[in-house]
Amino acid sequence: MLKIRSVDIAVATILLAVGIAQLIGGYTMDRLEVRHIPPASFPGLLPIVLGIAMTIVASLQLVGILRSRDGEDERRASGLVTREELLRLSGLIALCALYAIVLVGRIHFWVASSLFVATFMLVFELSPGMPRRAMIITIVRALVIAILFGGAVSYLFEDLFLVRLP
Amino acid sequence: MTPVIDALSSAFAELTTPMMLFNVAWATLLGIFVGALPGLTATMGVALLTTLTYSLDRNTAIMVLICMYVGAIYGGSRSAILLNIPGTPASAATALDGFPLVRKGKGSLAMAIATLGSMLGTLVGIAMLVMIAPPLAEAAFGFGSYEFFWLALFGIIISGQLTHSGEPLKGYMAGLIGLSVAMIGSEGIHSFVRFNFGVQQMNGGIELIPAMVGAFGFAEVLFAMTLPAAEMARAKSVPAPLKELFGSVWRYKRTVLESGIIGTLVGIIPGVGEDIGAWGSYAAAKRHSKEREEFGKGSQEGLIAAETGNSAVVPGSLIPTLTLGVPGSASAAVLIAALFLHGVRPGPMIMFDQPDMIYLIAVMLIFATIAMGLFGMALTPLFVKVLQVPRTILMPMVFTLCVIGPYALSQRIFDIWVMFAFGVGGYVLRRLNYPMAPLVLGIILGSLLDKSLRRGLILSNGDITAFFTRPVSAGFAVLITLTILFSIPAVRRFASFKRRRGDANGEDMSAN
Repeated sequence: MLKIRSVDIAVATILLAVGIAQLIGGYTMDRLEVRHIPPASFPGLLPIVLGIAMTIVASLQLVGILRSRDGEDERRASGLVTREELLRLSGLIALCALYAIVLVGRIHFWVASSLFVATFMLVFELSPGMPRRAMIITIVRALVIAILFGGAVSYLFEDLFLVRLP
Repeated sequence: MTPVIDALSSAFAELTTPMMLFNVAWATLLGIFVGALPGLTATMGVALLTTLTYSLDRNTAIMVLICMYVGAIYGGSRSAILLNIPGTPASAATALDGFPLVRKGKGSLAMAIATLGSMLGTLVGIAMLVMIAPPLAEAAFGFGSYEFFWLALFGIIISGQLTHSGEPLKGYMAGLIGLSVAMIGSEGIHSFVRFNFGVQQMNGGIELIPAMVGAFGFAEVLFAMTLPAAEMARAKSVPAPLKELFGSVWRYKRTVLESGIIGTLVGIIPGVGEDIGAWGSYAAAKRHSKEREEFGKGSQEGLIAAETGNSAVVPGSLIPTLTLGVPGSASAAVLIAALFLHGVRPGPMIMFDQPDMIYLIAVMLIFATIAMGLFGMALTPLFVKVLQVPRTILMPMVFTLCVIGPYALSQRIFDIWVMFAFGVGGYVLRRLNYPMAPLVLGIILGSLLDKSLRRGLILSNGDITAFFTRPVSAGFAVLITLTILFSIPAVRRFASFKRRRGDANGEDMSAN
């Protein structure tokens, strides 16, 4: 069980760090004196301003979250991320990453897409207590939809719209 | 007036071909389905469809995207009314009165009112687009670096202020994140590469389409698959009695006009969008209504205000998009990217470079509105069927399109990674109530803000007061300062205390 408040604190802290890093990055950026550019137009100017603004806003956010009462979130269902939701989300991101980052570009696009759609449907539709007949119908349906979709999308983009797919 | 009518007539003549009408039909229908399906938004629809328009000619591509935009904003009302789940955030206000009307057995009437309201709202917006856009483009000629700096900043601040859910700091932070993303890559004055972290593919910066497809498309997939499934309402497909429908709309003609104007004006404000248009119109209608107590319980007036308001934002948001190059909504932001792809350069020069473009777009909007009305009235049973598609089938397909879209644009696997990163980041930020509109606007306006600031400083030899002395710049500066000040709770409390004390003194005086 993860409290939204904790995630909020973590994200605000990361943004504070980004703000400071951006401020430093902008300040230490090349002033381009060799190119004789006016000093007021150096490339790091807006990053410095943004870094300062981000640092201020993130600090105010952090102060606000830390001052809010700890127990407030626990009373609201939306204030918590349950273990099931976290597992589902991690699995989903992993599955999508496997398709988008690993498979796409390595095997033919329609094969990758069909594999992804079929796996996605099976992962989220099959359950352990399912009757055998329902399980077979789900698997067959997932395979048919996946193959048809993979083929259709490849045909639509590659042949009709002449877009090269990975 | 004659040149405008001539321009509109020639735009009609140019666009009225059988092929174009066929494109209007499928794109609007697709848009309505995209909007109707919870989890797919208008912005996402326009972003995904942009990738399908690469091989189309300029007019067809823009027409298809505009039909998708109009259709999707309207389509959100279908699931809002039938399921009490807004298909898009723009339809949240519609659900308040639409769903209670379904429960009262007036589902068909509710959907017909929403359709007619959306049509009228879009038409009010189109009329204002034709009237306002050309003089605004002309006025924008007087804008220099100073004004564009403030305009870009105003867009991000006001968008951050109006789109947050009770936490303005999150709205501002979203804008700052977007601006920071825009700082990545080669900058526009000296071509100096910033923040590429040694990754050569980042030298060109982060492309808008992969970022948007990730933040809206992939993030929606994650949302749809982790939130509990919605229960389907039983909808009857009995046609609405026309007499009752037109009677209702005629009774609330003032609300229709007022909501249309509010929606259009909200659309003109950079980055604010359809949801604010709907809520603004709804609140105004409630304030002026004689049946105020009916709002939220199935008020036809509330429903028509919300739908007219959100639809009027569409043409309204195209006014700054076309004339200033500053998008009026998140969907218009994607449309800007698509316009650039197809050789249209939005901005003050548009009336000189492509003087017909504003009128062409106005006519495209009219076609989309007619198609929306026809489909909306005729296809209710089909919408109910489509809404029953399980998300376990729909979402993997949406993600596949999210992968194709960015790749098709640049042929770079790197853009798929960008989409993925923005999807996960966008999900986390949205889960924590960070609004996405300022983030997107930040990515788009970052370059304009950066160039305007530094060009302005070059012109003034580093003198920062030049940003405050021209009338329009000074006006924007005051507006931004007041907006930020009023987002501070202590200032708001102080202002309302002063107002209450003023009211109390007034009452005392009148009592005496």
